[in-house]
Amino acid sequence: MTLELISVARTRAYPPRVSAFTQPFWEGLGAGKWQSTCCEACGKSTFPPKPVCPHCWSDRMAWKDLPARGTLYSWTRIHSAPKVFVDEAPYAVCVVDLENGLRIATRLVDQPGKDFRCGMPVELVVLQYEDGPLLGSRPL
Amino acid sequence: MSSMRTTGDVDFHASSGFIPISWYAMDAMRYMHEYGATREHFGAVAVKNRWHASMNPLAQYRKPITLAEVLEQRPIVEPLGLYDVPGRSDGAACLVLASEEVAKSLGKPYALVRGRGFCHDGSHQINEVPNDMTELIAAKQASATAYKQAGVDAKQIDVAEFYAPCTVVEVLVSEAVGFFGRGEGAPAAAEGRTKLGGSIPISVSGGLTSRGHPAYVTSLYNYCEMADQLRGRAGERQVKDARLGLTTGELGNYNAALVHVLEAQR
Repeated sequence: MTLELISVARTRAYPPRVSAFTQPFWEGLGAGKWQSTCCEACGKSTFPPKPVCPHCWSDRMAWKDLPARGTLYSWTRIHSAPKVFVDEAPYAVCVVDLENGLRIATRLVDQPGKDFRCGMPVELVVLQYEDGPLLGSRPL
Repeated sequence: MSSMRTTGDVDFHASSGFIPISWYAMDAMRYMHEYGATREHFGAVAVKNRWHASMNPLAQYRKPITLAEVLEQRPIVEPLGLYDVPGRSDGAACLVLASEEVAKSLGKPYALVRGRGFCHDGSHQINEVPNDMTELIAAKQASATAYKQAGVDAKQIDVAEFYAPCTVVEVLVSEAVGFFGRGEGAPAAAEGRTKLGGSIPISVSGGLTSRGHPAYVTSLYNYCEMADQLRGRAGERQVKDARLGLTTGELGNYNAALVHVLEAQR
């Protein structure tokens, strides 16, 4: 699944730690590819990506695309941010339930004319900062 | 300090800017969506806890506040405003533990640990398999274990001190430990059932929003208040004839909970 890339004219305030294992995720995300590990034994996807399946303990994990749509489970807008994020405040974050039954937490991006509300459909987007990508959700 | 740090999974959450109280704010937003709770309901917790703190010489914020004042504060993490969240605190707490034999020999009131329960729900802030985030399953299970060990049920508890950094958390824990049914905690707080003199006084110390929240010390601080209540040393804010007390500690978005049931021995 290829996600829409949205340019952000700044660097990431608190860049994610990238390990040899998670590098494929971040490299893929930078090109709009939304993927995580899926267990070849029990068929369940997991996020964040893991080398061992949290459901059946198999280590037969393979990268697989994830659905780009889900439902907004909850959200908040943070007005009082830690020093490292203060230049971006206020900003919104959220918990989203994906169509394949995975729950994730991301930034929440404004969609003009759409007020955030629990239960609304959202789509995932890539926030393309100058130094790399972050995942975001945006009302549909 | 701690309430302002980034939080969550360092690889996949922290970069988005989540902070500890943002998870509670999302609990509040979801709980309002599901049960029709309002900012006024949560605000009633702040007003009540400040009133309790006004009677606690150790509390950080002691000047009584009104519901209107709570509602007009600037937003911190929507829907929570300044008085719904903890301020920054420093503090220290100390409890003296002894065998029951030693405690008895002093001839003074003491408190006995009657039940203890701990549960970690296995998730890091959120469960990747969607669950009911505002149910606080760890607190529910830990309190069930503590009640069972103590041989009591929720209805018998006389006073409770929760680890509840935000007003909404006190409401959710009051349901998770069985004082109220799902969705009933918010209206119960607004009706005054959780204040001193109500059916189950909660956060009689003033709670984390008014007594203060010196993170890492807070859990023990709650036990200090409970020790005072159960030994009849809480002065103006004494819960009359308090015999059984319940305390909680937590981490994450109540992903783990430690619950004690204590009994007064006088």
